[in-house]
Amino acid sequence: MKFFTLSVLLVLYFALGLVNNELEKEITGQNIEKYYSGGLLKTEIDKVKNIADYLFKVDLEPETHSIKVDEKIVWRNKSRFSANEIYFHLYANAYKSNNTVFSGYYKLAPENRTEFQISKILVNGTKKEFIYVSKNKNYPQDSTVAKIMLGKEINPDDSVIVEIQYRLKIPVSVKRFGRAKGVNFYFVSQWFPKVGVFENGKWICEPYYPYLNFYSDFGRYEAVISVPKNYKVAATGTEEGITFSAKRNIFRFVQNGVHDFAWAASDNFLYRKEKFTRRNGTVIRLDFFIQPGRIKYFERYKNAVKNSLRFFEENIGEYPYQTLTMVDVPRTSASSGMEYPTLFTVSAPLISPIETHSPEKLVAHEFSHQYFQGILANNEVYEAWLDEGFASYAASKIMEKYYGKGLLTFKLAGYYPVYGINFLSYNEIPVIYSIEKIPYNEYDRSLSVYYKNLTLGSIADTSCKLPGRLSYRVNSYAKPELMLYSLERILGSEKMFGILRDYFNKYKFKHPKGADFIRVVQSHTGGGLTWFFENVYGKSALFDYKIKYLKKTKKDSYKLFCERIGDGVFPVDVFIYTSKDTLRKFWDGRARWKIFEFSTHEKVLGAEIDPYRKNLFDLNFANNSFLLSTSYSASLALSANWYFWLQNALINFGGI
Amino acid sequence: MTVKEILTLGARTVYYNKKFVILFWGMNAAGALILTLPIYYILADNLNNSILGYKLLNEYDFSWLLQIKFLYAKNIGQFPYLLYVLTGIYLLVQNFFVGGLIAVFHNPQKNHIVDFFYGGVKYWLRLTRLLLIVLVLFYLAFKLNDIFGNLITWYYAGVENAMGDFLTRSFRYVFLLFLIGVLMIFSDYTKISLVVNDRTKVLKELLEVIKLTSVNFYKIFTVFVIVALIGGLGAVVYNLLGILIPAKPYYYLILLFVLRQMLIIFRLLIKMLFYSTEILIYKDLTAKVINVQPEEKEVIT
Ligand SMILES: [Zn+2]
Repeated sequence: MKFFTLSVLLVLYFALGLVNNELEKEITGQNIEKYYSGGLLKTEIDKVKNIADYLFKVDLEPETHSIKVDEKIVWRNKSRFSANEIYFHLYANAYKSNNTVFSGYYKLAPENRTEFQISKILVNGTKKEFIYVSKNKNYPQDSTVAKIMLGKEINPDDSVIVEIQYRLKIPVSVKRFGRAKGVNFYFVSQWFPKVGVFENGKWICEPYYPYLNFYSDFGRYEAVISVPKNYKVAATGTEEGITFSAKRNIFRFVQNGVHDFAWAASDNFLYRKEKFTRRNGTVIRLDFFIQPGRIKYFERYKNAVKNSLRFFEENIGEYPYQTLTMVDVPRTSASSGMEYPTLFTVSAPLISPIETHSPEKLVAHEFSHQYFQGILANNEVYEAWLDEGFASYAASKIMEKYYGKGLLTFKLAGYYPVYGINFLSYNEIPVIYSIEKIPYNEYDRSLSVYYKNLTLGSIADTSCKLPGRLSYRVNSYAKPELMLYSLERILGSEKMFGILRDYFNKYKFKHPKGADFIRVVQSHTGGGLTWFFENVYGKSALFDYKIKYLKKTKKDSYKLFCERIGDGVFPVDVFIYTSKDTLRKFWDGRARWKIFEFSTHEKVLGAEIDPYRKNLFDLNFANNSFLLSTSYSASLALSANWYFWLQNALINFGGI
Repeated sequence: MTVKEILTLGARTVYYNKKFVILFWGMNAAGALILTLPIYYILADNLNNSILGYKLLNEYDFSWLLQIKFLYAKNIGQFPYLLYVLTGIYLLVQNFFVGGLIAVFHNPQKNHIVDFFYGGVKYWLRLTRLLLIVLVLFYLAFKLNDIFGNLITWYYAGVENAMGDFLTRSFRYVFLLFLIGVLMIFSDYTKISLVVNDRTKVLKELLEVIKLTSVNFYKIFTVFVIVALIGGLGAVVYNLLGILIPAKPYYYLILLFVLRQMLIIFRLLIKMLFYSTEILIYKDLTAKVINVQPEEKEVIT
């Protein structure tokens, strides 16, 4: 009966789809059917291996904060091995109790909890059950992974149909999936049983870790979502029709060539549509769903999205989908800053001048995940740096290109941004501070995070095994961003983006691994960067090159002593500055020290290792250079500032 | 006395006793110097032979600042403790100066440096006892501020209204500043009453002052705010002049240093103006009690 209704609805939608194409034409000014099919550029269709297709029929019931779902999966075995079981991610079960892997970081209050209430599972029409598989010894009760025994082999090129009926309460969000508290806003991600990845005859299907959550195969997703009349829906894919009944609005979304599906529903957000025209003239539809209080940010959101798209289209590769949706989430929602295929979430501070680069950088970062995770679908649970590191790097490059240098701020009363640095505050009252416009480098945030954890873990380590949140942040975000910056500085921007383009084209709609990226780099550089990946990627080496001294040995002769203090090796340029000229030397950086002896008639001023700061991991930039004459001016000038701030602080304290 | 009279008379008193600002300045300069030395050594160690030093004279390098914080984390981590200890010593020495200053302000005939130090020694112990009580009050004020903060966080956790949250937090911020102002007023007036009346019972005097200020709050607070605003004006003028001084070449920094010291001296003069006006108000408000008796005596003789 259920599927009969579903089929009737679908017929209705195909009819409506025609009407909707007219609507689409109005938005994009183009006949989209010429370029797209199932929301994907026609030129890309044959590049996608559709392994898992999904069809959903969803009813949202705000009265009970829950959804009722009919899910139908077609899984195709496109491997060389046969399978007799099928694994699923049941990520909503992460919110079940404080005994889940996820709750190891995000503690769940009763209002944050939920779990799948499954009423029926059919495999090729036969009733089946989930067998829960706990993969993390520390959390035996975790039920975010389950399998179904198929009872027969699914051979290569065979397929299987799985139908699941369930209800799911949408909890108050603690992170990602959930609803807001102060407004009717439902963010529905991690919400459906999703097939694992069958790789080399083995199922790869990891539990829902607090910060790691994606790995699945590409396919075609279609969702028919019914919501109360006054609700709007934002979702992965292209909206291919809405039916209106007396009490409900029913939306249909379709997307081919993606590996996940998320959606949001609210009776409160504002909708704005825009378009982006590619260089070849084709159009991407941009959908913005914005909180009423943040509509003042619409222009900035729009520009940030368009700048990000332009950056990727020009430097890395084509955005292959018909639609891109940005959801600005309420302040009482914990779903901000997340990425899903063709949809991402952001939020913005109440007061935020554009020089703070907020919310622009967040938009750029989440957008970048469309490529690094959405299209280049690495296993995030094992190699989070391939999405987080690349997205951080790309977002920084976007900011540099379109927004210039950001300015440091600190906040008063939790909201009001003041330009400058607050060195010390007491009870939120700044005690030692400087109010001035101080620019920062986009990678500076990564530097400061890196300095908090130098040695625990390396980029190459398996992400889900890293010890704790800080180590994860450093090795997935900060160090990879710095690594990519350093790589760019070694190779030059042109070569760097050539490599990224090549990497993208080779691995789009696939599951690249870290080794794949390194292979691409090596192929562009003749294998000359083994030392780089060994030192920066493979281990947590520390870098510090220093000039110990530079002295005159006899008339016109000098001796320059360079030292490698850290265990990390990084070949460096060594520049010697004379009154008229710069003598350029090179040191492979391998030995613990290196002495350069040289003669010149000119007056020698000083010398410098790595003058272009190619090695952003160098822990002390100041000792990279050495001046023949000691100068007190900088330390005195900077101390004088400090002195003045302290004088004021003492007067303030003395007010008691 | 009108507010205007208080301000003119107060300013005149400060003007006649301007030499004492040197003492406050000296103490401030010495305290800041002690606190600056560790930072100077860090900077000298890091920059004196580095090309980076020259670059920093001309441009910001936030990466370098992050490195300094990381490389010298141990030393920098101890800095707040050094600051708090030194502030404690600063307050104790300041009590000595404030005792002398109030004594001299109170009695215009006694404006010799000898009287100043005599007053300083005489009133130091009671002012220090008062300081301890006031510190407890400040602690309570900050605790109250904390509780307000937690209440706001709790309430707005489930509310969409970010503007409401911001306004409430701003109000809390202003309220904290107001609370600090009120405590400073209590503290100042108690100091004055201890010196002027030569009394030793600190707590009793504090309670008297709280009574006195609550009855005459408008006048007392108005003068306090006006003097504070004059002080704020100094900062505005400093910033306007500061913009005019070019950042390079670096020897212009000497000019900046002089300007900054002028601001510090101005701020210390304002601190003196607080006391001089407060003494005038205090004497004005308690005049009835003091003046009545001599008049009666005169009648008798
Ligand atoms: Zn990210």
